[in-house]
Amino acid sequence: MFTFILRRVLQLPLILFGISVLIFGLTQFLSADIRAASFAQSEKQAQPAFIAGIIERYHLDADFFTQYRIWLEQVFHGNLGYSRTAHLPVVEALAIKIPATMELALVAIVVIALFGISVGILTAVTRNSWFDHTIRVLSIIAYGFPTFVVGIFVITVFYGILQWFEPGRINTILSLTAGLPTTDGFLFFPSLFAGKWDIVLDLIKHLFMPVLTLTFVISPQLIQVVRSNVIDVLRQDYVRTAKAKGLPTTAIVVKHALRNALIPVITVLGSILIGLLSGSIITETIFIYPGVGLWASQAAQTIDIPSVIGFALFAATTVTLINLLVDIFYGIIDPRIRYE
Amino acid sequence: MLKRAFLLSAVMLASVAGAQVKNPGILTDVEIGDWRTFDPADCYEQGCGEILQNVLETLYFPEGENASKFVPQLAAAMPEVTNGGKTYTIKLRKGVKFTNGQPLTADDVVYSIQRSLVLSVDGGPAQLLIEPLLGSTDLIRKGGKIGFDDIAKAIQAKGDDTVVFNLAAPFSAFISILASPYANIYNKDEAVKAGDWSGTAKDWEKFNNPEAGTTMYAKKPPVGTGAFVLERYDVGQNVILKRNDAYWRAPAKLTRVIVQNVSDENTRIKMLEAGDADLAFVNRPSIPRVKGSAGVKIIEDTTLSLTAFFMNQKINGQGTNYLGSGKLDGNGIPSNFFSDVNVRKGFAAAMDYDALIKDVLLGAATHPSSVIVKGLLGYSTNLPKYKYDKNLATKYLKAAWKGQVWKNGFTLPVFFNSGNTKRKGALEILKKNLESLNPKFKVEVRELPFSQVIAQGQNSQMTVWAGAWGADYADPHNFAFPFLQSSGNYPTQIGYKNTKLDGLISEAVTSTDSKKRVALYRQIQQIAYNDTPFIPLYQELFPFVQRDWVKGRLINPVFADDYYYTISK
Repeated sequence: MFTFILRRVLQLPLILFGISVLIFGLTQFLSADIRAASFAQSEKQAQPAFIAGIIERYHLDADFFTQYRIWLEQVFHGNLGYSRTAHLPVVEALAIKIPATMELALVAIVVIALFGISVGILTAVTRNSWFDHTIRVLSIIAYGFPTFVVGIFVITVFYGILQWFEPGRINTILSLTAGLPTTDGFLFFPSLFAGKWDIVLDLIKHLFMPVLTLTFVISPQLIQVVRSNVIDVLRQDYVRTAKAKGLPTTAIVVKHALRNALIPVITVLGSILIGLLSGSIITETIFIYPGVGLWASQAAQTIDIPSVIGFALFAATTVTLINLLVDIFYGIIDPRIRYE
Repeated sequence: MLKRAFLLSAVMLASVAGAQVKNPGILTDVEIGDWRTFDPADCYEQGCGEILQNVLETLYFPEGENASKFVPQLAAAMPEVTNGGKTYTIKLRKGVKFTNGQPLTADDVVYSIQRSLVLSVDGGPAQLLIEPLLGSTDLIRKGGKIGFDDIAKAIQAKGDDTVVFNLAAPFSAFISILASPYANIYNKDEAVKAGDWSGTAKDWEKFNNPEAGTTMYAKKPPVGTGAFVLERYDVGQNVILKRNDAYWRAPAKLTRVIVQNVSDENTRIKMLEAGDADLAFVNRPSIPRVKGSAGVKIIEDTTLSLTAFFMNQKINGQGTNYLGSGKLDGNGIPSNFFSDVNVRKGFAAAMDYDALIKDVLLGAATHPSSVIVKGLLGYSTNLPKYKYDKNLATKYLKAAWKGQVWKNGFTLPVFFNSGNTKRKGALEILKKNLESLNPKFKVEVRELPFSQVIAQGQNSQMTVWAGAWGADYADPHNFAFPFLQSSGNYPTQIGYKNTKLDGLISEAVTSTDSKKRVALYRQIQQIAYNDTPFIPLYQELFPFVQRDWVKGRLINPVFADDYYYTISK
């Protein structure tokens, strides 16, 4: 197991190197002046000397290898460049945006997992009942809904009409009166551990709408996977044997079926978590949630290359580590799986 | 039934709640875009300009809602102008203190203005000060023609309370520039103590042209004298301003201002309707959604901006395929296609301005005759302006290129920047009308990313494109120069030069006689009308959307968005 983990971790620098070369290579298809012009905030800012100055400063007309070498030298000094989109060094931008996304992703994945697994099991156990049919139809409908439609509906009802929840990450006035120096970084978990209940409650109020939207859009996929796997397992000989021995259904499902049905579910949850950690762009935009996804999409639109590379490196690291965790869980859940 | 009743009562509750002033004393302004910097020497955008306008102050300030009239702010009185309009002597107001408690001195003013010139950030606002003070349109660079000695001579302190500006030549728009957010004054001691430029020649080169957005004041504005101070900045999300209780005038009525970056329009509208936002940026197409909403008020006001078609008379065909065959054979255009004034006039007559304003801009714009838009000195409704006239367009295009254009036709790509539906609409109208004149005329409306439009414009690669210019300060020079002077922003891109115009523009900006200036700018507009280097399309009205409980909001087209000092709720 240790060798397996070590091998996977050692692959990471190679993956990151490959990604950075690829992104750098792709940007070379854009001419130096187009990349330089993307630094301008407005038509007016692009004065005649502006583009030439930017090309000179950032060596945009140098060959690929020179540009890549310059970037790599910066990286070895712990500098991923400056993010024009975040108006911060990329490392700082990642440091303040990742925690917000992580908090949303972790809360959302717990809700999605609890909801998706329980409803999936219920539909499997009550296969072909009205409940099963209703959930299946609703799942298909929810799965087909674009996130922005669900988001707009959720914000209209829960904020616009009912005014129960607010968009954003935290109420700005509360954050001021509570003496928070900033609304960046981790807020939920430190406040929870410090027992700052007014802040925790406010953060939950702000998380409700994005988490509801993500649960609505993402959980159908999980429900379907759980349902079909539990049904498959329930058909197995050992389940029939357990039934024949007179074990109650709950015990059969929990003790036998669920454990075996969980392996593909963990894979799905892993990929959902990767998606959530990479930032839910639309959800973050609609609910003004200051996470990494919104930043990355803005960076891509404005050809902010250091930011795009910084985000890609973060995303690749996330994918690798979560896949590694999923593989480790496989081994824990199913001892037949070995990684030697 | 029960559910409907529940929803209805919820809506009623919400509307009742919405009628009460939420968070009195705290103003929430939801906008789009964030804040690249708070450095006055670097900030050249509305977003940062708005924050600086509220925490820092200038020597002069626009009078109320009048864009062209100024009153002393940090100055004690209007300047004493001597030496044929080249020397401006300004006494400072007594009793003004910075938020760190230090009194305002002439040294602070000299330092603030000189620092902008010393930094001369690429794409920053320094050029606006360099032109009148140093007679150049280039930014200052180490080893260049202009050195620190020139900067030091241009602005000098005379005692503690007097500043002298020595202009390179008389410059009638100088007060407008001093009243703009690009001439903000801040505390020298704090800046020097924090490790910024020392204010002397010894280290000016070290601070020259820093990387944009990374200067000393990228995340926090310098210490100023304004009615508000920056309390907190949540990068990219919120700027929170706190009232300066020791302000030299009566303190502001608002205790705090929260400026939020909310990129989703629906969310901004919901926040406004819920009363969580007091001021909101709402795009024109969404105005019908908020019109009539309870508690929401819309104020329409003219902007000092001009959107136009630019026609390139010397197209650089390298690196693009925009010229097609490169000949007048119907499959392309020659690189100097627009050098024939008949082509330019034909295009101007083929544009349906009324349809553009009515159908695309939903009536919220006017059609200016030339560069001098409404609100500027020299604006007149009596000047000739282009009109949609099919017969006239036909006449010009038949005469163009000795009849070859009409006989062989052309294939022409025209451009707008991605997502700008107004510019796209304008080009679609031009395309439709030109193609209806002659089936051999083929116009392709193409969308390009914003950076590509800028880069290809700068490289003179574009053929025809729709672009816009907004005022830096309320003076016709700020439009005449970039549009018509041969070294200005657009003529360098479209290969336009008229030496007579160059002379007139120079004469108009150096003249101190306003009647003479009016006459000169009218003459300039007449020549521009005859030459048709570009086609003026529209001057937009901007919808300022707010809750009706917001009082005292001044709408001035030269403000960087809002000035919170006068606002209450």
